[in-house]
Amino acid sequence: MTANRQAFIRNRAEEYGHDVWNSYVLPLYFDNLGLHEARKSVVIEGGRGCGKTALLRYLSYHTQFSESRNSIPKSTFETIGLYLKADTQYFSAFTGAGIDDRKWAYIFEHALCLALAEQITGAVLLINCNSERLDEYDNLERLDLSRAVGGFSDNPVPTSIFEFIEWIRVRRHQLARWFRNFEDSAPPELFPLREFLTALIDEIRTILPYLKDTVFAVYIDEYENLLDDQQKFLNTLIKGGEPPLIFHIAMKPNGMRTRMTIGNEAIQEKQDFRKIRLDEELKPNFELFTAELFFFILVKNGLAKSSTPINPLHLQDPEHIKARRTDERYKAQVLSEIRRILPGQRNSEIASSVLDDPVLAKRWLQLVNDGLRTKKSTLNWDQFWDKNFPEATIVSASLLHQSTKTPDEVLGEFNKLRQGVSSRYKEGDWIHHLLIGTILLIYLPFRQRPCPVYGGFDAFVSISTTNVRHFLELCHTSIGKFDNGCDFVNFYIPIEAQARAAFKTSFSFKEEVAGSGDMGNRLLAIVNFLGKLFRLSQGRPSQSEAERTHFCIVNDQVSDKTQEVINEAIKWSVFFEEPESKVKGIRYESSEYVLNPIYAPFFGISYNKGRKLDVPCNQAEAMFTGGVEDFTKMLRQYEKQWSINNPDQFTLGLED
Amino acid sequence: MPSLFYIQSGSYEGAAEPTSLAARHWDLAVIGTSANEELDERSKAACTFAAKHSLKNSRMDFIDNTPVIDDAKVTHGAICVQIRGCKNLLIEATTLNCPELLYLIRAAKKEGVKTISFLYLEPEGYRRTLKGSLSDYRDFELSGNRRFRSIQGFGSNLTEINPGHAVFFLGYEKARLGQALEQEETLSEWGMHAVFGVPAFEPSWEIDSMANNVQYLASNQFEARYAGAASVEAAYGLLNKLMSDNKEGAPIVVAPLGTKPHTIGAALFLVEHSECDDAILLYDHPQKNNERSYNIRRWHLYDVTIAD
Repeated sequence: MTANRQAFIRNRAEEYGHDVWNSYVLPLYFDNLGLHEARKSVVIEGGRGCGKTALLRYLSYHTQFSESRNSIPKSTFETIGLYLKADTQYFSAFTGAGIDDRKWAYIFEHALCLALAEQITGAVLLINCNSERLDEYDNLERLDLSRAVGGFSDNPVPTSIFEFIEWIRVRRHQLARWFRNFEDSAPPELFPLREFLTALIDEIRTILPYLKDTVFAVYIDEYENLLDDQQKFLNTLIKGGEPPLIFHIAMKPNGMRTRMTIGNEAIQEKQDFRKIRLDEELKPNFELFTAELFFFILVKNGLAKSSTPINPLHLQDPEHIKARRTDERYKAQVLSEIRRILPGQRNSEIASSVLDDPVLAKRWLQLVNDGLRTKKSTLNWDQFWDKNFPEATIVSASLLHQSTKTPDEVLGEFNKLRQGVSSRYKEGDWIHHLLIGTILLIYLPFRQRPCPVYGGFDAFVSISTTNVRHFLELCHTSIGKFDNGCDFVNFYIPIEAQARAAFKTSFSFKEEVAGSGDMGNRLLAIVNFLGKLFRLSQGRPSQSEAERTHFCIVNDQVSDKTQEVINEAIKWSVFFEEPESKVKGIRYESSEYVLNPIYAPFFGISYNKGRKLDVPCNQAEAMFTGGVEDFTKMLRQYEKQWSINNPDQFTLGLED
Repeated sequence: MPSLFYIQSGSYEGAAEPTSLAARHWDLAVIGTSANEELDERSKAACTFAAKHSLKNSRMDFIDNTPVIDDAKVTHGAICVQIRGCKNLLIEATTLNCPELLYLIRAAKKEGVKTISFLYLEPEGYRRTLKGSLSDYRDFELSGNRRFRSIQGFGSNLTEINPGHAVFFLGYEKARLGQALEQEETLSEWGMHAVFGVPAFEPSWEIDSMANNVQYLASNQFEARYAGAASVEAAYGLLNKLMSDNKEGAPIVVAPLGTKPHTIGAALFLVEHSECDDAILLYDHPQKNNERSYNIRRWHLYDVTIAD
């Protein structure tokens, strides 16, 4: 039956529940991770929306032993994943209230112990969730959990696994009840996590033959949200982790605030844990992965599999990952099909469409005339206008503003190009360096007009960086309701609709920054400030510093307070830190910071990493820790420094 | 099911101390300002009133997840001792925040206080725009510490309980709802309710709070609800109605992010149902800012009687 569905509306792992067996597309880096085989702790680091939670849920027992999985290979039993995401608002209250930190640490350990005990027993029950599986595995009645952990409690511990789960649930309720009324009730009996769980696992491994060699791997999600003492406790578990119980964590960049354990030791990378940077893993094949995901989602929403270039089962099978990655014909098919559905325009096409649009052409004319007038030239605008050379025509509008070039020189090169001889437009890379910048400059005052630079699959991939959620939201906003009975061969989204969706999505993710942790409001203010600053730069007619979307800090080291804000901005992917590419003169700082390109469509700036802005240290201090007056002062200062014409100021939208 | 608290409200126009309150007296008044704090006009007037009309008064705060009375960290038991023997109690809600209200109401209930009165002075307006500024922000909005953190006695582990209803009382600070949804992703499975202050303190203010939150409301399938911005009773009644309609006994998360009268109503509800996981607080502990309001438009006094 055909139906209209909002196919891309769900873009968070949380919306898919714990069992993602039917909905998870294996990322193309999956076989490089070695998580199933890991016997030492792994720290999975990744920015927002890169797929950390979905990956951990895929690895957890809910998915691996999912009822939807028909046959379970023996290798699945080698490692059983236990997924735990701490409720931040609950665990962050495990402090103060007249209880000393040491006691809170024991309570946290107990809470974690109960949650994991529930997961371990939950995994055993899920393995035996139906009659076929019971025939194959079972032996549950032989378990004696009282024998295993009875010594940890002053109260009787039930023998059977079914009663034990209930007993754990009651312990959890006791803890919750005490948390609600701890001054009037006695504290619950507390269990030591490692000892309790190891005893439980030992019993399970001894009695159940199918789990005799199993290692239980705990995946703690959102580690960055835990209090410092709680992080120290988990670091201790990482340091002391060994089969059959090991601990992995997932966190945002800069999420590990302390490397200390509860003793005097710190955990070390390589020695105690291996770090996987998920964004780096995702980057090389992000384009193919998002395209595969796109078709997978459409198939799950009722589109005939045969209408797409993918096989959903292959996307979910680890055996096919290598082929997906290396089969060039397959890759070309998938990418060509998605480019048909989300078509972009070549730069020359965009340039032509600008010249054909009366409003944009008028803006071009104004820029050219302003340039000629400023240079006191007697040349005429129409000498720079040739629709057969749209790209060169467009960039002439900027070249005529550049102080190092005369209009005669520019015209000379333009005419050489038209005559088919070597010209700096092509061979000197003028077009290459200035085209996108000049197109954006022409579009800049027309904020509501969809700019085709932001449309097309390739633009969507660039704007999303490695954020799957951003890509899916761009698709959702572009497509809206998808009719799975449509004539798919002729189905595509016009570029204007995509560009409009990019602007809308960009605005909505920008606003979402306010929700980014403790400094959300400040981070949003920083995004607005940087966006406006780069928009000011984008508004310079000469485009001598084209496509400026990143900065570095020069002259001195920033204060600890500023560094803290920068770290937080990186943690929440407000901007990305990269090693500095080109270094001019002497400087202390060796990182550059790229504004997340998802904000580019809203501010009308480039999503490419163009020229860099050097920010003096004292300005960086004000940028990251200052007040609103500092922001205004700095923007005014840059505006003056870059001497942007006043009439454009309103349309630059700095005051919205 | 009859409610535990019975609420009577009185509103008085103008900045001056209402003459009809001149004869009122309380055994104890609790205010929410420190000795050296610079106060805005309404906080000054409210604290002066509280001091003048009470036999004794105390200052209360909530620091590092711990209640503080007259600069000393205290336990729930110590708050009970402070209140013990009082027949009536004045809680100065203009200057006190949600955690202090919760601790005080809970202690008053335990100690058998007959009447709790809440004083709230409504300002004439808030400084919202910055003329000539290129920034979208005011300095106080840039301050940190907006983490949702439960407080002992009113919190629960949301990942461990079955989804129920989440009720957000909304004001014009747009970031707060967004932060709640970002930090508590587990709520995406809950029934969502957004409560707006309608009628607002001033006509058109409700448009601000709707406009500032609209992007989240649309994408999270919120059910919009309304309660008069100045009505403690409406907020309390709305929550109790939701509880009594909720036959399956699903838990209710309450996020008081809106007007102070709504926060009082939410606090009464939370204390009434705090024995188990039925009612759970979700709160982000905003920093106090006394510079953002000016003048006094109205006085409100809410007398709350506790059923025997």
